[in-house]
Amino acid sequence: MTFLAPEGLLALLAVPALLLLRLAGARRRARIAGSLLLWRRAAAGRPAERGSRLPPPADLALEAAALAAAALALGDPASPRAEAGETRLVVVLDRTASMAARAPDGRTAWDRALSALEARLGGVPPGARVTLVAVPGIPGGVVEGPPLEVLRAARTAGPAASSGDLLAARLPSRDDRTVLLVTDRLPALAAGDPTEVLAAGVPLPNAAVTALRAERADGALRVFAAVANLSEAAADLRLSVRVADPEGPGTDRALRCGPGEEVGVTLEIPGAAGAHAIVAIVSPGGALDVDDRLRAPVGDGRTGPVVWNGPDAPALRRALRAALGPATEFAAGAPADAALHVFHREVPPTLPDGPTLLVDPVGAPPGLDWTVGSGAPVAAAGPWEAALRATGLPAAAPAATGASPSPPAGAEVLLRAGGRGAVAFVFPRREGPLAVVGLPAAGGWQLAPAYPVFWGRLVRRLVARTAGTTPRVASLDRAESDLRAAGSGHREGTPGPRPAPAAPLSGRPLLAWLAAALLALRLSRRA
Amino acid sequence: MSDGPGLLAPDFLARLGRMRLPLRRASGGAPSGGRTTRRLGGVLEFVAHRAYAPGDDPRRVDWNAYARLGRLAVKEFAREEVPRLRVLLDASASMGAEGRAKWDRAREVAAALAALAVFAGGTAEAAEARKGGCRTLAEAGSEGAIPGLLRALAALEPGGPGDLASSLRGPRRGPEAVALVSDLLDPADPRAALAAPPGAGEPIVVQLLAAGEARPGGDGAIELADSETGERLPCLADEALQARYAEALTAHRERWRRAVVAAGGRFVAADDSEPVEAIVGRVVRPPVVR
Repeated sequence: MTFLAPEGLLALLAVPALLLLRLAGARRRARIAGSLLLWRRAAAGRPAERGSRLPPPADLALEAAALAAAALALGDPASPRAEAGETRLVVVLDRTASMAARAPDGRTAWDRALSALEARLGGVPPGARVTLVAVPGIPGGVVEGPPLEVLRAARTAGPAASSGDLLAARLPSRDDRTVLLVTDRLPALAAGDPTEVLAAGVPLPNAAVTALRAERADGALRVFAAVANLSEAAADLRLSVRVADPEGPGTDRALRCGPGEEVGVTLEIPGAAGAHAIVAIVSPGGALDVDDRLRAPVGDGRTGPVVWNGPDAPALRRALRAALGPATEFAAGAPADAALHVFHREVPPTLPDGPTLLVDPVGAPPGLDWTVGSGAPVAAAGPWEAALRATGLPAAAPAATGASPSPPAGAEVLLRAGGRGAVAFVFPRREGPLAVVGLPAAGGWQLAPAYPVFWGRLVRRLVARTAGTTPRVASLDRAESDLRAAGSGHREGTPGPRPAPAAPLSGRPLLAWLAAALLALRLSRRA
Repeated sequence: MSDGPGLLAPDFLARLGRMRLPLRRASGGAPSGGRTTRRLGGVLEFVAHRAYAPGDDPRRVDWNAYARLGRLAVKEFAREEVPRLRVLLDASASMGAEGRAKWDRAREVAAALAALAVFAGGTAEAAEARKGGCRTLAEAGSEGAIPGLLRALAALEPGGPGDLASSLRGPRRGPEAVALVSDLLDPADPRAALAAPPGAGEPIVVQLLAAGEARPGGDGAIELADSETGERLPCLADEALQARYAEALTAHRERWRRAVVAAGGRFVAADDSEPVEAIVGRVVRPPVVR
């Protein structure tokens, strides 16, 4: 309960003032009578008069209550919706695989989520209606009932081996409901989103699997994975890789990852040569809200070197090596069998054939005319626009300028930055896909090794794209917060930024009506 | 405080001279050995003869009748008594409690009644009635004594408790009438208080109340204090209580009226809003027979 106009509470002083006035007025006026003879006879049989002439208690109570209600109305009391007994609470409970991540203290994120949920529901009025939406769903479906019943239903469930869309699960909620998201992730909420996030509070290092690749080798499955730790402290992690399609055996590997370090790991899963996909998870992990369970198809490996142009970018190189294999070569020039052409801070006069990655093309001189593939001219108006126009695609309309470039038509967004628009596109080209990654330096973004997770995600998707695999839109959307988390230094395990609270329920109208009703009742009694 | 002569206006005094106070002239057979001298305003009239009895005054023997009848006879005379009015003014505190008008009017009425008695050729005595009896203030047997009586009344102030019963039972000088000017707010039994010796004059009782006493208004919650005893009574003077007060006043007044009528007297109820001449006029006017 809060007051939006606390100065109005000064009107409460009118209540004691009213009582004082009433008491002062209740003093009987003394009157000298010639004799009480007749007065005593007249008063005989009547109930004894009291010593004061206060109004009847009911009238006085009505007056005081009306005055108090009016004063409180002036104070404009408001109650957050979550505290209002009549409001309903929708609990979206994350039971994805990452909730099974176990912290060093032995408790899983699921355990912490239940504890946090129990504490939160403890503050809900017992009569309130709570709706439980588990993601992925539980056999009973959506549970609705009092807080205790919902908590009981949540305890009967547990982490699932699959993923789900937490934000989409909020759809059943209405404006008059408070949505409580219980998760170990940092959800990508839009500004002003009233969803209340209840962090599971898992004090996990900010670690994740950044790259995952599997190859068949000698009847086994050889797995190359990269694990990045964005924490400020070293973390003892455990990488777990399982055969996902069809579900099969797996293997674990313990590893120690320094702060800001990305560690490459090679694993073998015997007897899994027939697998088509694998999934990897690092624990304690859950650092990011995307792909704690990283899934990758089993391929035959990519051949050919990576042609690197421009200044070095170690993080990007590590990401490429993790994605393409530890034996990936980085060459200069323009080998014809290159698996990928990387232009870092450079813009070539002509784009090469084959998969190409333009990274932070700030080096393009303004006004440079260059052709792409078919030789279409490029009118570069700026570093970022020049890179976009370099595609030469007919639909490549001039992009927006500034720090929030918009992808031209025909471009597929690889990554978005929260509030900064798309920062990575991929263009379908006959000569091979062209990926452009631009981080507007003026907006504070730049290519730096501090973002290994970002580069790992980007390269993995780029490789998947060049291999003909269509990235999942959901994963791309969630990658926004990946980038945002990396940029803001957010660490998992600490509560995320609290969303703006729901509009408080103002009690002013109710109190005003109450005051008017009490006053009317008082006047009717006088009449 | 008004001075004595100013207590009654001169023109009102003149009009009083034309009014007649309905005092019954008490008559009685002259007892043997009774006074034969003429008293003030009184005359001896022959009534009848009766047989001589030992002890009779020989001077009353009618020798002419003895000569005619041959037996001794004595003349019987009746003496017309000079009317005497004793005006009792209730001077208890209650007479001044509800404003000065009540007390002023009471003194005016008392003075007027005394003057009426004098103008009728009688004697008037003004006395104050308080607890413990009554005290004579002044007497007037002639018009020239009226101003002194008025001054005595004008100098009187109310105060202290009252006791109408004891005041009315006070010593009387023969067959005198009593006029009581009071608010009658006294628990005394009217019949007992008005009990008078045989031959006493008829009582005149004027109940004079303040207008606020006759018709109390609604003051809401009040605490009444008795002017004489100091007792207090918290009450809510609402309409219901006012109605019950009016009923009690009517009943109380009726008791006094019946007692006065039973004693052959005259009862007048008035309040201080009524002019003194109107009040006195109702006293001298023959009672309406209902």
